[in-house]
Amino acid sequence: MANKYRGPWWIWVAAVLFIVAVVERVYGIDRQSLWSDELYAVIASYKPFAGAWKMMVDDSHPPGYLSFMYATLPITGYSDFGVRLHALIFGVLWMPLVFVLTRRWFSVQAALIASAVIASAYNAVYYSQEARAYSMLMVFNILNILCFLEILFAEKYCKWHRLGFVISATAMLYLHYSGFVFLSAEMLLCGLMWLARFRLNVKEWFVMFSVPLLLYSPWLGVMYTNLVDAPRNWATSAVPTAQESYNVLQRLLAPDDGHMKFHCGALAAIALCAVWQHWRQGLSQQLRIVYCLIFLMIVPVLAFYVESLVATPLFEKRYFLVSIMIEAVLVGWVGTRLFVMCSETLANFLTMAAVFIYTVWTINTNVAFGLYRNLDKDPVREAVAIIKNDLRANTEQQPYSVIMTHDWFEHYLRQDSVEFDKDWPARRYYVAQSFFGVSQYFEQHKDKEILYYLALREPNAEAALVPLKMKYRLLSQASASIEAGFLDVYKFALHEKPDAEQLKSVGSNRTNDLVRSVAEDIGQKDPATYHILTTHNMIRPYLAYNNIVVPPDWDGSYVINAQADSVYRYVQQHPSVDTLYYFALQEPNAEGAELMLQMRYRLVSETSVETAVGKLSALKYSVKEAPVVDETMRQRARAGQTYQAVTWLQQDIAQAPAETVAIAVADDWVETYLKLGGIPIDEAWTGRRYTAESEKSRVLDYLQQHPMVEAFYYVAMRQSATEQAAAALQKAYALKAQTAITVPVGEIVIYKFSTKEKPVVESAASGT
Amino acid sequence: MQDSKTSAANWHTYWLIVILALAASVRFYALGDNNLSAEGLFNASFCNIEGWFAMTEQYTGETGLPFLYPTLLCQFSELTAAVDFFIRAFSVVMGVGVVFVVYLFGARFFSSLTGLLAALVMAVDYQSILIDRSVTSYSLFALLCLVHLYVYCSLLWDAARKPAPLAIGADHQVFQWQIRWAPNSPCHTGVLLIFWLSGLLAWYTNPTALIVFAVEAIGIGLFVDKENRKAMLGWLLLPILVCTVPYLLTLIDRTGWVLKNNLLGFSPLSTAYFSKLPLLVSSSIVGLFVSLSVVSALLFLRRYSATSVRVVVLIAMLVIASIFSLLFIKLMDPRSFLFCAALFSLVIVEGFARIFTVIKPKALKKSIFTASVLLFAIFQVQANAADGVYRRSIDMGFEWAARIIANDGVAETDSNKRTVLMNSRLFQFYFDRYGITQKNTVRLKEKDYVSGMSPAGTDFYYVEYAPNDTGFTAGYPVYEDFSRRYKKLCQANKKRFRITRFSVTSGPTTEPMANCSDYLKEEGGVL
Repeated sequence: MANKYRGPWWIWVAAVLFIVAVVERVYGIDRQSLWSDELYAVIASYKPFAGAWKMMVDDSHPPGYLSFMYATLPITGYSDFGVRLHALIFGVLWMPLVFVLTRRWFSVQAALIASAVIASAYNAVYYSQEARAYSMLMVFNILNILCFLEILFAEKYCKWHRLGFVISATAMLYLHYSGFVFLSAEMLLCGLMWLARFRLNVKEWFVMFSVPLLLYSPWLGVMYTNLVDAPRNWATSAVPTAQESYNVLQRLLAPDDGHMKFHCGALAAIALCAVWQHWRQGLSQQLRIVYCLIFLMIVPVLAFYVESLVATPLFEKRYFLVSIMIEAVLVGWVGTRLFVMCSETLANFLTMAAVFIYTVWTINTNVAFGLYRNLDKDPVREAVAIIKNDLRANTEQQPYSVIMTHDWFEHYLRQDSVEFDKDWPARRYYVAQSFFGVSQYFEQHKDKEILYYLALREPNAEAALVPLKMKYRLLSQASASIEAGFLDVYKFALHEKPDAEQLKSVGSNRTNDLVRSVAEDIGQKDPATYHILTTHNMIRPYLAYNNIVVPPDWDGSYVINAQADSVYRYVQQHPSVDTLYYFALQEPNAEGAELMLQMRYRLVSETSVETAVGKLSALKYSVKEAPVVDETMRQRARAGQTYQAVTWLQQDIAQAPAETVAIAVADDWVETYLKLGGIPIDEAWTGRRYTAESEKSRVLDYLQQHPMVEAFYYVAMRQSATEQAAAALQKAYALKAQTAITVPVGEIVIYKFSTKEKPVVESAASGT
Repeated sequence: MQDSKTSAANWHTYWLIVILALAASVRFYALGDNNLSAEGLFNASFCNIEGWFAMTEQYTGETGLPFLYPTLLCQFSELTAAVDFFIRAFSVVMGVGVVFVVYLFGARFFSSLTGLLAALVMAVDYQSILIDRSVTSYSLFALLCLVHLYVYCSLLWDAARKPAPLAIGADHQVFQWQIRWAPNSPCHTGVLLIFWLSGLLAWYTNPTALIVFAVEAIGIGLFVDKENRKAMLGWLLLPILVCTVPYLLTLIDRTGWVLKNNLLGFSPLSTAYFSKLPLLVSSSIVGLFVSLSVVSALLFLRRYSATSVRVVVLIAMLVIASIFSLLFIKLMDPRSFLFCAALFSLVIVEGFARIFTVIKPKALKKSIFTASVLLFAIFQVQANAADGVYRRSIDMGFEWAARIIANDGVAETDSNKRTVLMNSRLFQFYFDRYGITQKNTVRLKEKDYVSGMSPAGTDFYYVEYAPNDTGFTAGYPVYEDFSRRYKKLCQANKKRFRITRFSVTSGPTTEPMANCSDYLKEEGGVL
């Protein structure tokens, strides 16, 4: 009954190290809130799979991690601890895996030292407490190295190592793009070894590397897009200067200077020891492994370094965390080389002493450096807690609603049972342009009395706040802060107007200054004599604030040139209007829209201001005066895609006399471009606006009345009505040419008919 | 065959490491986030007393308990740091030690599986975690008692039963030394020394050890043959009893106080007591019943070795003795019997371990064992968290008071103008933490207070802790005297805590006073 078994001495040292590693990783794991990157996976897991899949494709990383979280979060739960649990479990595995790797190729003493290095390494603990792919990636990385070395150097290896290599390599590829870099490093190493005539089964290795890549191939297309878009999708670092590179390596290897010196010394010792052993004993098996590990440690770092120099700077420590593991193994190796002279007992004792001293030193440094004190993650939890506490403090709760700059707030809103409308897309309110959606919602939901706005303090969000402050009374505001930034919480009364003090504080912004200048220009004018146009609804609260009167059913939204027809129509239908004011946020679309007005009406003045969301202009047009068309305007028109239609017509008409050409246009705004390009338009012909098949007779009549016309052009936006209209013409005349030009709102199609030729009737028998 | 045994032993070792890691994790998790309770602050406060004799004298005088725990606690905090985390960490380390010794007990006298399961139960047990995370002597006492009982069982029924001399030494070419002691003892001398040492350490931690000694004496009477009984009693327990005399005298001295306060005599076990006993709160009673049925059936079928049966009897005697002492000594804290609960856990899990043993294919057995352990651990850890094992202490008023004073806007350079008076020294720990220097703090004893005291400076705080009066309904002469004479600048209340800021320069007014808690409102932190 008695258990007489006692494990070897080292197992208890390893056990204590393991327990210390676990405690280091568990302690304070949920001290900080989950932050935006961690919450991305959490938010994905709330969605049905189709929604989550879209997030995976949109993400700048491969889908492995999000899929894993999607599958496991319902099991581990949505508490901060539950969300980070997998990182903890995988992070805890780093140490035993490094132990196994080192013990397999070096010695138990080396394995203990390597384990001690990895057990308390600052980054090992940090990434074991963060719900991101890195801790899992490292586990597969070490497994991959284990199998890789086993296949390369072991006397006998079994199929499990090959299988392990393929699985771990595939997992690495699907977890992070840095896995691809590491696999490439291994390929390169194999290539170099083959060149150096190392006994290598090329065919086998080809298969070993091909299978993971083949399994990964479905994602290669997305990976290409992600890498091309790297500057936009990835958190770019500074271009790695010598100083910056040193800083990154310090952040990678050690929290402080003392540790950095230790690691630099250790790396130098590794190199010296390898050279010394090579010189004295030749290239032994152990030395080959050391060289391989050095190669695999350096190449990923170098790869990111070179990539950062020549392309997008991505020299971030987390992309080559695997180097810490390999360095730990090599530190273990070089450490035991120092004990080689001692007796076994003394070597064991020295190993234990080294392990103890290093562990205590590192833990102490980690604590001093703020591993359990620093606040570097967005305080999302704390920001939501502000609302929760406010709701709790107000026992007589008024109906409320919550809007937010980012959807990752939703996790804590759900956790804290703070209600928000999950089906309302405009609840994510990040830019002022979306304000209209917010105000409309509250027009429809009059029962809501309080509005909470959760905002990451950024220029966009600050601009988005302005219309809210203009429209609703701000009751109070609070913020949750960390060293890196702030999250703000605002509380508005939806049924109360902002007081003078609030308006005064808001009104000092540049957008309001611009609107005020227009209000001053309008003065006491009759509202029937002017019309307001805006690219974005964010202007609306400013109009109200500056007493610019707009009709009750007013919709002055004018964003793109294709909408110009509605403006022209409005002006025609309201002859009392003599002035147009257009507030345009300078975007490519607005440029075309602006041009449309300028080509039709006289531009009287233009004032611009720089706002948080870009340059905002106020343009004043006199609709009763003819426009001034100059070369600048033509150049601006030529820059747009719509002008390609003009160019095509110019080339096709070429030197043909004007009386032999007739043109019908479906859209007024397209005609404006044609006129500007000098395309002959018969303005006397009122029936040239041909938009539907029913108007066909007008065109046919015109062409019969003008027998000189040989070529007839029909220019229209592609729509079913215009296509039918064109088809009707094809029955009367032969279609000689057709072209389509892509513009932001669709396609402009130009049909060229010969009025002197009858249409070709295709016979079914010809099969053409 | 040997390989298979080694493999099984390795498997058990890996599981033991995982269970110890789990025990450490659930005990260390967020350990520094929680503030110390009044009891913890009371124990930690002795570390501020200069001189070991003065400290132990005061500790024994105030608690009636011996010196070992405050001595070790203060040494540990001096070696590390006097912060919440390390002050608690001492008990946590002892708690992990308890889990390890439970495994050893189980593995030695039942089976490795029993040891593992019992260690697992203790690793995630709600009450054990709660006790280990508190700044009290119970974890240390449990560990010492378990070591003592383990050695006792070894001396009676294991290899240590054979007489052998003590021989410690080093034999090296350069360095040679040896200690050898070979008395005419009926058992292994080295182990006997450990037995004495652990017994004495347990005794000087908590006098409840006397019950253990009594049970051990009965055990010798029951289990040792007639020829050796006297010798064993003499060699095992006599030296311990002799060494207990100094503290025994103190204990007798306190008997008068015990009798005066009516702390002896029958008192029924309240449900509150039972709820504090480990294992009974969160473990399933059905599971307990199943396991005990299996054990009873196997005992009846004589499937246990004599040693195992004796150990079961010993555990039963200890459990009965603890229940009786809880029944008849009102002073007794159920937490003192944590060691009993740890031993009882062996009996609880033994039935399940036997069920696992029946499963024959090794792979299936390992799989079922792994799944069961994981499920139990996850369920229990979740239940513990839901039951509030990591919730902040109810005595957080001590830190709250310190934070209010630290945030009152008075610069440290001007703090001489403001004095802090307190009715309990427990406030001092967090005052030190928040930089409220001791030179500005004065402890007032309500009973010794002489009316008319005038604190120095322009204003002063009076902080009060009333352990048995949540709403401050009783009369408090010091507070009433100050209220009669000075204007209250602000006041704030928390259950069992009150803080008032008085102005020395003006008399009492009827003006509404501010809430001192407002000092804590962070600018822009709340809506």
